[in-house]
Amino acid sequence: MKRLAAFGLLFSIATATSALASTEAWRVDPNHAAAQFTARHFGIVPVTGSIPVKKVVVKLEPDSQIPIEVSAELDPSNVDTHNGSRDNDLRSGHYFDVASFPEMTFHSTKITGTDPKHFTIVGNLTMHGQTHPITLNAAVVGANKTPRGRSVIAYSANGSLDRRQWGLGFGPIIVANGIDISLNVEADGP
Amino acid sequence: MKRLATLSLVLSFAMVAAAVAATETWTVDPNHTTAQFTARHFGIVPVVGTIPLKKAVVKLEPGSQIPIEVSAELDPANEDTHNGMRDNDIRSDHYFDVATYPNMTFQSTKITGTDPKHFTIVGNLTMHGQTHPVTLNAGVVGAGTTPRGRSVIAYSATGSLARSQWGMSFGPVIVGDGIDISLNVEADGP
Repeated sequence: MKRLAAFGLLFSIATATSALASTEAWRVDPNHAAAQFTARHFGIVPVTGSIPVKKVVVKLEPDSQIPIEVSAELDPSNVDTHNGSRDNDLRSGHYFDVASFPEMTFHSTKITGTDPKHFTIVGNLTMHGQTHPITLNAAVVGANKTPRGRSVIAYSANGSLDRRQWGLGFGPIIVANGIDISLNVEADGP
Repeated sequence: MKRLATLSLVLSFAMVAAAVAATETWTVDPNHTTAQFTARHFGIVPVVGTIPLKKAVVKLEPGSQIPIEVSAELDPANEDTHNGMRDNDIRSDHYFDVATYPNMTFQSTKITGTDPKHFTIVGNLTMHGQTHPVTLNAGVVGAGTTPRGRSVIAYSATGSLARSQWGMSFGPVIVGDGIDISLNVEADGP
């Protein structure tokens, strides 16, 4: 009995290790990844901007398109709403305060769902020096092989947040508190 | 009888003149307007870019939020996909050829619908030196008054087109033919 228990333990450790060993880390191509946000001017007019993606990793188990982990680094210093004076304002102490808080990261804590076209990513978003959870509704919007034979999965994800939670509450009449997020990500297989 | 006929004629001229005179020209604010396009890398990965708006006008009848006419001038020479190399390529004769065709315009030909949240704009899009119709599904997403008392209506509109129709068919394996369009427009009252 003791030997069977020992064998069982060894077997489960071995299985866990091989599952970990086979997890694939897919790289996200920053040239084909976009993190976009929409704010509302006067609470009415959607104004969109983007924040460049520095690095993103998507961890997948073989044969599954639903990630087991997602992490990202973004670059709020290069926020772009196609308007120089607005972008300077966004980088300033009014909003992102990139001089004090140049970092912006996301790290998933829980990914749920069995349908690759509709799954949920919960994770911690750090920006303006604060970390709080956000929820993203995500989906695979395409998968293929490149002409050179590399596997590619395209993900889209969206969510909303209240900027005040991260201490970004400046100017609530001119810009609404609710910010919508939209992500389009190209993940390239190992 | 003749006098009555004359009176009716004069009255109907007056009514037509009054109706024409009452049409309001609302100015679109380029700083709070986004003309976005989405192309698909390898036909699957959505890659988003914007084209600045130079000038646009929305004509409305008083009391109606559904335009009777929409016209716009855009600036493809400054299209932006947040990637210098890609943007140079898009502006080149592979795609927009902005050196030869710097103009991009839209002029509505027919606007239908009675629900301000769901109406249809058909118009002629001119780019790359060619003019073809596009159909946009449009809707009011917000309306109000600015803190300074000016009326504002926010419109969104979406549509799709096949770039090959405008002679922009370069690189069909790398970039899909179908391009999605998404517009968020701030129209400011007179």
